[in-house]
Amino acid sequence: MPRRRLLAVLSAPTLAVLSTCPFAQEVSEKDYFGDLPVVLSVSRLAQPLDETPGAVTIIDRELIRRSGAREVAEVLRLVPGFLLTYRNGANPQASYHSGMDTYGSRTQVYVDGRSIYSSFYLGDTHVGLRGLVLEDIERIEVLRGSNSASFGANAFLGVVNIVTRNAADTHGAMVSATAGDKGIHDNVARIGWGDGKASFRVTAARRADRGFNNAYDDSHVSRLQFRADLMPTASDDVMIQIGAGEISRGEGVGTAGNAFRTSTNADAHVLLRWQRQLTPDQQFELRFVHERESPRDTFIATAGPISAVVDTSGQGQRTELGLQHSLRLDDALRVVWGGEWRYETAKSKPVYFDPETISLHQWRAFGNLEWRPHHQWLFQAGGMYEGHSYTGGTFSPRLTANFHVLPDHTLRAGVTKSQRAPTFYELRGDSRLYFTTAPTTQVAWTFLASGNVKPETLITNELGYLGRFRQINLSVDARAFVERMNNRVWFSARTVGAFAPNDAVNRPGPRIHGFEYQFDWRPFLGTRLMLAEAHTRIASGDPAEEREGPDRNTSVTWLQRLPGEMEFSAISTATTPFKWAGGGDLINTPRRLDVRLGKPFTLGATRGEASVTVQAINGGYQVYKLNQRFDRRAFATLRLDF
Amino acid sequence: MRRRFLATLATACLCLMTYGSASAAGAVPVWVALSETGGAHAEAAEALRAEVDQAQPGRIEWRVAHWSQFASSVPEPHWVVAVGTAAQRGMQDLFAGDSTPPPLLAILVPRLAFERIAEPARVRNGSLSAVFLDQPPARQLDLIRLALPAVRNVGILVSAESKAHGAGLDKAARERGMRLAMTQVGQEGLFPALQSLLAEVEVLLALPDPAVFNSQTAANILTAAYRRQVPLVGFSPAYAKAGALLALYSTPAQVGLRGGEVLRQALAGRTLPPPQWPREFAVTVNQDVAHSLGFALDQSQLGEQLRQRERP
Repeated sequence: MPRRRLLAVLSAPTLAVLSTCPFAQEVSEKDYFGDLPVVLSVSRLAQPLDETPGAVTIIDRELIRRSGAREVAEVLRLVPGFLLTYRNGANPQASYHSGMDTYGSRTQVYVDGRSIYSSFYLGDTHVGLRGLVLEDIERIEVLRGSNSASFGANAFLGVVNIVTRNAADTHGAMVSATAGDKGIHDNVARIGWGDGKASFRVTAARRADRGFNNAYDDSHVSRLQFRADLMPTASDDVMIQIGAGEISRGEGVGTAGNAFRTSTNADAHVLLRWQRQLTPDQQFELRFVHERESPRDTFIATAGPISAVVDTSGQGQRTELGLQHSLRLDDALRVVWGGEWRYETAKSKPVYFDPETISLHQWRAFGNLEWRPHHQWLFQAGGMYEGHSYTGGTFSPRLTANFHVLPDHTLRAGVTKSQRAPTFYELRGDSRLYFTTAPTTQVAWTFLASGNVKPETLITNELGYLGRFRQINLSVDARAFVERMNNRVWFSARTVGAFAPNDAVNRPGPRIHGFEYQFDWRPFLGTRLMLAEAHTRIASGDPAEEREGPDRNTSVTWLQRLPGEMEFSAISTATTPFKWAGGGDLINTPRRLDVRLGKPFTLGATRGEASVTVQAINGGYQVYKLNQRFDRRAFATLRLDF
Repeated sequence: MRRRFLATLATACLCLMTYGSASAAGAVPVWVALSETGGAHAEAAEALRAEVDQAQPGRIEWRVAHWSQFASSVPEPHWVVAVGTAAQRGMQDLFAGDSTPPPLLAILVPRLAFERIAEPARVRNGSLSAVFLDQPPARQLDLIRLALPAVRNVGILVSAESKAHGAGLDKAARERGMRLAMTQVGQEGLFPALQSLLAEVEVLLALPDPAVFNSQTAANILTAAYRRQVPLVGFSPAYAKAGALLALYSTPAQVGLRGGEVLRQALAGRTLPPPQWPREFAVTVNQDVAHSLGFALDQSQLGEQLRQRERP
């Protein structure tokens, strides 16, 4: 075809060639009548919020920046239903609707399609979230609810989808420095380069603070991240990410059985994603992920004269290969289907009482059908079948209907079943403690998995409304839900010889119901007001389980542009009393008010911003435990973009 | 390919028909020189001819052909219509040595291309004029105002070739309380210029310029703008199809129709009116992109509102 076109041009009258051939840089009517490839095909476009199969809150770069947050977890409290706590100053954790886990094991977190869920020990996303560099994030999309049908196991109580900035959007250099109270000392340096076809970025960041006043919780996060975005042709997108980092954080409460110590977590990953636009209506995606992590957490526990080494250190690896094909069959019908294979290993003598590496395989097949029988109706049916080398097969279906009552007003109803897969520890854990003085004599047996534990399941029914009132710049998102959890995993002691180790067992879980809403209103140019609130009730036979979530959880955000191009923001959050799992006390979280004042500026070709943030400006508050306080803290940031 | 073949066939028939009626007594001889004998050029020529013939049947003795088929001959035509830039240049060259060349109306030409090759003296004395393919700046900015009422910052990406669009657009933007940001693609290439422009604007107005907007760069520009949620307003339906939020353009038939009206008026006197924009236009909305970016736009309503604005 190119050869034929060239010949046609050459045989045309010479003067015409000079003025109209594509190499001439002079405008002619040809520019108007030339064909263009379909670039933003439906599969490349983000699904509009009124067509998503669940309630989604999007937090963009601007809101992240103006929130004054230093951690992703702090940003998540802007999402209705998300609760934020700090097990100590080095362990911030956000979770949806219930404080039933303080490690984020029931929330799935994706970063550009790579899950940061660690199944090494107890199941964890909160450590992985700490390693992310906020400056590199384009937006955070939070699916409020569960969706194993699309995201697989562990997309259980909330799915957090983090999209980092395309390397093409971060050319140039950026440096940022933050300093403030409590030893806050953060630095980010980034350099990006490339052209329209290939862009690259390297980000180096560190974040340090001394945590809370009366806790052993210094933390230090360091990270090096590389991202390349290649567009070899108009229909191919290739993304490569390589990252490594280390998080060190203070742990323990200073008791004989939970001593003060510093634990570390080193990790590295490679992510490759290739997306090809086969036709305007078809897209193919291939994804490869390899991750490894080395947690280190060791201390000596004592009980009177007896002492033993408690160690949960080890190595974990995950490798994943995924394929996805999306196609639009016609205007009314769209299909996404694909498969995934995942191989995980863990190695830890003290955790698994096995000097060898243990492993598991998971494979997934999924499909989602989007059917639009009428312009007002959209039905989506999806399902994922997952095979697991320990727990066998599970199927997670989902069905939703979106009804556009009016173009800007949508009602949504959905039912879905999701799973949380047991972690390595819950399946294979075997923790034995030995005398420090006589290392071959067992002193205690803290955990022995029988391997009989089944996946946790969650059946969610929901009704939603999404409204947009364009005349007054207001959008409303409301969701009523009933979440029935079953097979909740608990640790329960059993007798093994002279010992009573815990085992992971299933029990019926709670029934969480309630409603939540978010209002996002821009009443004037330069003013944005947001309200996110959730009202929840937890029903269960167990009063302790019923106190794991607050009755009400509120966040109010006010963003204001001030004269002189100053930017002001205030975020207030509060919950009614509740008790976090894993040792939290029943406490009320009084209103925490964070304020930030920023001033963007330009110096020649350099853009910059100076800002001051005060967290908990209204005074400190109790967090997680009665004797632990999040005190007022102030810090200043200077950022320069070259 | 098939479409092109059909268009060529249609033009061939048109040429045969015109030669057949060439002997009509007292008819005014008019040449219609085409840059290409098919596609948009033939469509515009046909619309022009239909407009004149409908008003004054049999008045004109048409000769429609590729511009290179015309040779300076006696008797000269009374009027020459050039369809496209190549034809305009060809016809100007053909009568370059002529002290009183027949009046030349160029249609389907971009304004900058016309101005580059037009002899200013001939434009001033009314013997050379045009119906452009471009849209007037006021119409472009009115459309942005109607479709995206919250937008204050409009960006254009230009090269040395197209920066002449800046003045008119800047004036039109200021008249509407908007600000125009113009970034010229420099030595370091298109991408840095695009990125710095996207950082400060809320909408990107694409302008015809092969050094900036072409089939190779469209993918980059559209994806980079979409990532920043900056909608693009294109100048042809191909842009709306490729991923622009909106496209504002005149079809070849609409330009031809205006050309016919201009020629008809000119037939009464002996001079041409000054170069002008096409009066009729079309607006296309890419509904998938609009929906994804959170806009609710109705293309027929937008077109109608824009037309109402221009009615006297």
